[in-house]
Parts: sequence; C-alpha cells; structure tokens
Amino acid sequence: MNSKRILIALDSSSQSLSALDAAVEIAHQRGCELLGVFIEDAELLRVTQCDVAREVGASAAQSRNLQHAEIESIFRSLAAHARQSLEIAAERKRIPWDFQVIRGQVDETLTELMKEVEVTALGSLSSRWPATSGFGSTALNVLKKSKGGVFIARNGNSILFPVTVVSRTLEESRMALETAFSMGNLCHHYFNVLYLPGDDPLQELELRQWLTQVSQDKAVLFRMYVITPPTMMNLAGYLQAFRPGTLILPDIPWLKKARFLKQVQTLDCPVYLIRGMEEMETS
Amino acid sequence: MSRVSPLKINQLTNRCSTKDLSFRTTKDLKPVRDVIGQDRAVEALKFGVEIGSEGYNLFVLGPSGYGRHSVVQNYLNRLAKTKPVPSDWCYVNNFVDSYKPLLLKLPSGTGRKLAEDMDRLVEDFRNSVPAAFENDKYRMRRQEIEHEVSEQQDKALEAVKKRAKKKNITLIQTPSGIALSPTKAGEILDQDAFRKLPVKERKKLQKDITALQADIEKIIHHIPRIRRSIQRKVKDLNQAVTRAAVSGLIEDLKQEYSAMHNVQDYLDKVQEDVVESAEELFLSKEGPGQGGGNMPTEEMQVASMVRYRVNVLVDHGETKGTPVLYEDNPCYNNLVGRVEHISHMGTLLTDFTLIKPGMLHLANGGYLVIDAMQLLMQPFAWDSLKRCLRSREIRVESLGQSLSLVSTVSLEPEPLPLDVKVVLVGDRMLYYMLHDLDPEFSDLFKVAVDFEDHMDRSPRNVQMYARLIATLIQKDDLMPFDRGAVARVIEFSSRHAEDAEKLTMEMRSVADLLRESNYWARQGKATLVKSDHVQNAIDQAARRLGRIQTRWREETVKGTFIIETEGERVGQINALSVIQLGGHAFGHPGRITAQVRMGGGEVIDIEREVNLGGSLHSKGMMILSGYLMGHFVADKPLSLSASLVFEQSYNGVDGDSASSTELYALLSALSGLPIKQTFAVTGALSQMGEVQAIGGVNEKIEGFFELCKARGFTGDQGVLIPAANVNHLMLNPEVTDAVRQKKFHIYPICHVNEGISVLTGVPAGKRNAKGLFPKNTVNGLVERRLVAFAEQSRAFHANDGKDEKK
Repeated sequence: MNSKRILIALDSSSQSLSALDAAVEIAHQRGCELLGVFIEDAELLRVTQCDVAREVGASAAQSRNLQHAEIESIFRSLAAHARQSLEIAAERKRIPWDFQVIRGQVDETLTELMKEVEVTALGSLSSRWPATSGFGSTALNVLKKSKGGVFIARNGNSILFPVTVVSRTLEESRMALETAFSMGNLCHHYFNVLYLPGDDPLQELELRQWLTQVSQDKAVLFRMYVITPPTMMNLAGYLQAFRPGTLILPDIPWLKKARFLKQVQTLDCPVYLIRGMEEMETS
Repeated sequence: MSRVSPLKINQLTNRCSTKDLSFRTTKDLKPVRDVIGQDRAVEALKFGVEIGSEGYNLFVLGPSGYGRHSVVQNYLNRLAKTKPVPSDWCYVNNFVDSYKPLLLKLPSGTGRKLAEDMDRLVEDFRNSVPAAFENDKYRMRRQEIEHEVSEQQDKALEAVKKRAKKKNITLIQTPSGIALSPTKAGEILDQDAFRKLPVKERKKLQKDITALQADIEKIIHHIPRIRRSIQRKVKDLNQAVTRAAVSGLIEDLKQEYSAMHNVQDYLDKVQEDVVESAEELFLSKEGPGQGGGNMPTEEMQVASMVRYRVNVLVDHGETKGTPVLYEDNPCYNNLVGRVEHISHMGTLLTDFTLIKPGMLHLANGGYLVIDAMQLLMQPFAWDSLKRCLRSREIRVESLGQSLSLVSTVSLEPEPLPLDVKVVLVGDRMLYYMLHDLDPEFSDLFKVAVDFEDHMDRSPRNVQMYARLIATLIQKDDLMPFDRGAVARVIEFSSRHAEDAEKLTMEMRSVADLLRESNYWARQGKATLVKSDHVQNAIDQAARRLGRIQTRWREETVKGTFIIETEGERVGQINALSVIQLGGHAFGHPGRITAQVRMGGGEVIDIEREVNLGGSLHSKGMMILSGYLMGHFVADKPLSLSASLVFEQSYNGVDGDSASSTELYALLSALSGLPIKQTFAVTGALSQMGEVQAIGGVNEKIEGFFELCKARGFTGDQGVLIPAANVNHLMLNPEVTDAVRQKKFHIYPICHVNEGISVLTGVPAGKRNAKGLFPKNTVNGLVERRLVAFAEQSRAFHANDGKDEKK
C-alpha cells in the first residue's frame, strides 16, 4: 500500500465534490498526495452497443435509446470537470495531485485502486438517481472491501463539526481518536467521544488519561459520553439523538455489520472509517 | 343758535381715581381664575363644548391679542380634567391582507402594555420555538418523514431490479438516468450476442424491457407526488411543534386580556399566523440542521416578526382627563397622520408600524384647538379636516393617495372612528368669509364664540380689571404695581378702546405695557411700579415708533408743510387725519383749500380726480354736494364750480372724517369770510349738516396740539370735534393741562352751523320767516354768492344764445 496517497473517486456529482473537499483536508493533515480517478463505466458503454437497451431519464422519465458516442462524450465532459475540480481544490492547499481516467467496471476498478492508497474518499451515492436512502452500492462496496480508511460524504456536506468519534479500548480506537484531535484543530476545538465500556474499568481510565494528555498538548477539548449498556442498538440510539457532525468510526468489526451500517446511513452525516492508516504524530 | 362752548377739563379724559381702587399694590389682589368681560363668548364656549350633536364644532372669533387661545385653552383644560380618559388606539398587522392594517381599541393605558407584552411574546417565540425544533423527537420524526421518500423510491426500484433480474435484464445508472439492458448469465449482451439469441427470446426480452421501462417511468412520475406528500407531512409536523410551543404562551396572554374580546381575537390570529408561518420564521427550507446552521439569521427573524408588533398610535397611559391639544402647524400630515417609509436597498418600504398619528388621532375623544388662518394656509388641510369631521373617521393616507396621484401599493389602514370637538380660532373676517363662501362650514362649525373687543368701565369691572392686571403681573413675574400705576394702566386701556367708558380686552397691549413699565421701574431701581413708570413706558413706546411723526412735525414747523396755526384765511382750513404706521397711530394736521367760481353745479374733488381718494372720501364729497344743494338756492340752479384739495398730500386719502372740514372751506370760499387758522377740524358730515363721530379723535387732537406747542401757544388755538366723540376722549395729561391753562380749546360740534360760527366768528344764520338767511351771516353770504352765480350763469347762457343766433 502506498500510504502516502489518498484516492478520491470523482463523478462530478455534488456528493463526490464534497468528498473531494474532505479528501483535500485529510491529505493536508496527513501530508498525503491526492489521486483523483474518474471511472468510465465499461458496463454502460457495453449497454450502448445493444439496440434494445433503453434509458429512462431521471428528471422527466423520458425513454430513449442509448447512443454510444453520446455516452463517450458525456464521460469526457464529466472527467474534464472532475479533473478541474481536483486541480482547483488541491492547488488551493498546495497538495500534490494526480488524476486518472480509467475505463472499467466501477467497483472492481475502485477495489483495485484502493489497495494502493491510505484513504479512499467518495460520495455516498451518485446524484443521478433522484433520491435514495443510505449509501449507494459503490460506497457500500468500498466500505466492505477497503483495507484503508474510507471517507463518505453525505448530502453535499464535507467534514462537519464538531466531529464525534466512537471509541472502545484505546488500542482499538487510538487512530480514530488521533484523527478526531487533528480534525478538532480545524474548527470548534472540541470533539465528542462516545465510549463503549468493556469489562475492564481500567480501560476507561487509560482512555481518559490518554485523552486528557493529548487534549492538553493539542489544545483541543473533548467531551466523553459513556454508552451503557454498550450495545449496538444503544449506540445507534445515541447517534440518532446526538446528531454527530462527522462520525469517525474505528476499525471495530461489529461496527461494520450491516445492521449498524444501516443505522449509520440514516444519520445523514459524513462517515469516516479509520482503518489500516499510518499512525499520526499525536504526543 | 347757542354759542358753542369749549369742553371742560373733566370732559377731556376719564381719569381713574386711586380712590376707586381698594388695594395698595397688585400683591394684595387675587388672581383672576375665570374669564372676565367675555360672558357671551364663555356661554357660547360652554354650549359648544357640552352639546354632543354632530357638527357643533366651535369657531372662536375675535381680533388677535384678546387672549382667545388662552381663554379657550384654560376653559377646556379645566373641563377636560373632569371628563373620562379616552381609549388607546393601536394598529396591528392584518394577517389576511397586510396592506390593510387593523385597529384595536383598548382601555386607556393598555395599548403600551399590550405592545410590551407582544414584544415579550415574540421574544419568547424566538426562544421556545427553535428549542422545540431542536428536540430529538422532532428531529427523528422529521428524518423519518424525509426518509420516506427515498425509502419508497428505493423499495420501488429494488422491486423493479428484482423483477428485471428474473427476466435477465440489468439496470445500470447512466449520467442522466437508468438504462435497461438484456443479460445472459449475468453478462450484459452487446448487439452481436443479442442477435444470436432465438427470436422468441429476443422478443420476450424486448417486451420485458418495455414493461420495466414503463415501471421505472411510473416510479419517476410518482416521485413529485411523494415529495409533495412529504412536504405536507413535514409542514404538519412543524405546525404541530410550533402550536405546542406557542399555544401556552398565547393562552397566558389571552388570560391577561380576558375582558377584551378584540385582543383575544387578535391573539388567536397571531397564533394561527405563527403556526402557519413557522417554517418561514424559525426554519430554513431544509429544516433544522447541524448546529442550527440553516436557521434564519437573527436579523431575518426580527424582520419577519415585526408583523406581531403593536403600533400604539394613541397612548393615553399618562393622560389625565380628556386630551386638549393645540396644533400650531396644522398641515395635512400633522392633522390626519401619515405613513412613513424606510429606505432599504434603494427601495422605500413601509408597514403598519410606520403609521404615525396626527393631531386628530391624539385629540380623539377630547378637544383640538387650531388656528384657523394657519389651517387655511396649509394645502389640503382644511379639506381633510372637513372630510374627517363629516365622515366622523380618520383615514390615514398620503396626499398622493387621497388625490389619486400615486398608484403604487401602499397601506390602507382601517379608518379610526372620530369623536372630537374642533375649536378653530380666527378673526371675524375669516369667520364671515368661511360662512359665506364655504357651504360646509356652517354645517360643521355651528357654534360661534365671539369675543368682545371691550368691556364697560363700571366700578365693578374696574376692580375685576385690576385683578386681571395683577394676574398678568403674577404670570410674568413682574414687580407689583401700586394703585396709581394700575389706574394709569386702566386709563391706557380706555384710550386703547377709544372710549372713555370702556376697557379694552386686547390684553396683549396691556401685558406689553405692564412688562415695559416693569422694565422702566427696574431701571429706576424701584421695587414697586408706579404711575410714572407706566407713563414713561407709554411715552417711550411712542418715542420708539415716533420717528416719522417727529420728522413730520419738524417739517411742518419749518414750513415745508404749510400748516398755519395763526391768522385767518378765506377758503383754507386745517384738517386732521390719523396715520397708522406699524402699530403706532398719530394725528397729522393737513390743509384743505377750496376755490369757487360760476359753473355747472359741480364740486370737484381733486383727490378723486387723480385717483388718490378712496371711496369713503368720495362719499363724503357727495354728501357735501348734497348739503349745498339742500340748503342753498333751492329755486335756482346751483351754478357753482368748486374744487377742493388736500394740500401737500401725496398719498391716498380715505374716510369721510374730513367732509365737514371740506364744507367749512367751501363755505368760507363762497362767503368770502376767512377761517381762523388757529383751529383744526374733524368730523363726518351728513346731508343735513350734522357733524358725526369719527375715529382716532385722541390722536387727531394730540397731533394738532403738538404742532401748536412746537410753535408756541397763542391762547386761541384748538380743535373742533364731533360732539359724539366727546365720550371717546382720553387725552394725554399734557393736553388736559394746556386746556386747564386755557392755552388750547376743544369744541364739541353737533352741526356745521356751530362749527362755521366758531371758525369764522360770524353767526351761521338761520332762514327767517321769508325763507331767507340774514344778510351778515355765513349762510346769507353763501346764498347771496350762489344766487349771483346763478344769475351770471343765466345771463351768460342768454348772451351765448344770441351769439349763436347771430
């Protein structure tokens, strides 16, 4: 894995542009390069070669035959827009960047690219379909298959503050908490910790001590809420009530369960899954 | 005919004796609380104020300086204290049509309280309603509703996807929608692969694609309906949350105003509007979001909530009794109020809070005093006042609106019911003009409050007048006046009234005299104002304004103006006129001369011929001609040609007060008898030869007196005045002293025969039994001359006829 790159999947939708903003911020904090990618959906191009295939427009429900040349043209146009957006956003923070246009199957191509990067950022879904609840299939696939971190922008929002991080033991959550500290530095200067207590009370003590120490060093405050009982549904309820700005999730296996992810999808907040990332300097 | 005797000392002025004044100084006198000498006016005032019927507004008429304003104000102020305080009036927003603000009538003092309560209520709305929207239950419920749309879509789409999969068709997102494509074993078929399929399968796939396409179209078409339904649900939720948050607050307020149904109704409307407008007031289109980021800004919220404010138009919270107001600038806006505008981004905006009251609003339920002249001078003010009184309501609208000159949208506030007594104060001429020229005036101002110019100088009134003087002294914080000073002021008052038996009610001049007397007393280090100070004040005032008078006298003494005060002249007489300049009147002697010859019976008034004579002067001349025709040579034609002129008069002459004087000059010219130049004469002539009263008698006498004094008295100088003017004499002490010393004489004349006898020293003459005047009388000589003219004329015309025959 090239730990110094952040992949941003661009399709020129407002969701992906919000993800770009977040990716720029994360890259700036972590000192990474940006790799923008626009995937020309090979399946769609293949569909255009079949005469019986039909397209139903999302805005006016008009049906028509798909034209290969037209789709090619649209892809070129979207790619150019995506590249321009990346250039502007990256140059603003002086972040090295690269951009690729790849023709292929979207999920497969992304899965392949994700292997090479530290974090993948994308929108929760394409805006082409009028509306849908939760994440689109691509976002769910990335969450499932990524070995690195994943940032999913929601509803046109980039990073929202104050960030809220779910934590269990310090060992499991350190990376997520470090990310929360660095993001807390950006705005508000505080973040929330939703703590899921384990059997060992010392774990909480250890976590608090660490948080206090880092808080002093970074001049970023934290507010810790203990979730009791530490069940998935209870956490989901807290999150509904709490309305986190940006939800930072550590790499805890049960947080990736479909049931929990479904709850997360109803929150309408950006989600940042911290996984397999290089440790940042905190203290 | 009895010989005319000069007036005695006691006839020259009506001295006010200090014995008649039963006090030492004005400090001993109680101030006057009631109006004195204006019984008729006060009765009319009382009647006009108390009668409740429509149109019984008042017009107080009289000259300025007579205390009309203060009398009316004092009377109304006293009366107002006993009357109930009228209602407060407020404008509030009309939630149905905001261009037509509504009125609220409230018990006095409640308007401001309601306004404050509403401000507090709005503040409570701003705190409690957003808090209700921050509630977790609300958020979850809203999210649930909003997710419904996407869930319904997802479900529908998922179902289509499943059906499609079963039929070997895949759904793929395109940049602008969804594509349906045939598959085989999960692989998308291109054209070649599709052609290789059996025809039946191809047809089936095509049919299935068409059917699925229709399903997707149906889903998409259904989306706006789902959205509308969601919006309705969200709106219902927002309204329910708002209603729950505000109803308690409004109910509390309604209880406070439980006795006022109009306020209760208004509060119900407020509640409905807050609930209806909850999203606009407290939420953005997207609803409450993270950290309140999409809430309306405070500025926007404050601007939106202006609609719940109460504009207290009339606040009687501090008023005691009914209001009595005086409007000294009765322009249109000051009377009926106005709708102000504020400039925002280059546009003029207004709302009901910018409606400002006029004096009619503020005086409603009470009395409004307006200066009539000021009112009539203001454009459209008189018409607007009449309109309000006629319709008994006040409609606040701009002039542009009322004249239909402006077509832009503006406010049309609900008219306010009017119940006010308007008291116009103006001079008499204005009253009579309005009465004659404006048909509505007599319908709307039925009560005339006519102020007296003067009051009788009875002993009781003199005492009251002294108290009035004391009141003015106290009001101006002047030094006390002793009895002598008060007596002199009373004499001044009679002189000002031009009647020795009257006292002037023009208190402005009296108050000025008091202040000036006080000044001169202070200058003299006195602690009490005495009669000398009053006299000094009178003299100084005359001196300040007497420049022209002095110059004129100087020029007369020098001989620039030829006025003889000694000797005798045929056809020449000294006349007396009064010159009024800047509030100062002084007598000015003039010289009238007459020339006669045979003619056609005309008396030429040179002043009239050159357009310097006024109509009254011309009238006097015609009366003079009438006298001549009636008294002399009735059986022969009046073959006289006479001309009369005011010598060295370069300005207009008017009035008939010199008509007797002109007759004397003419009689002298006709009779050839010289007139003593030691006399000056005034008096209006009747056709019967009576000498009638004239104005300014005191000034006229004093004018000739000053000239004689300047030249030195000869002992036989004096003035002939109409006997009817004797009662008006209030001559200054210097004149009376001269008369006492027989240096100067004043003759009261009833008939020209008396006057001509005094002036010529020859009896006027009375017709004997034969109808002839005695020979050596004035009238005898005049008639003889006129007969001679007639005969000469006859002879002349006879010769003229012969000449023509030849």
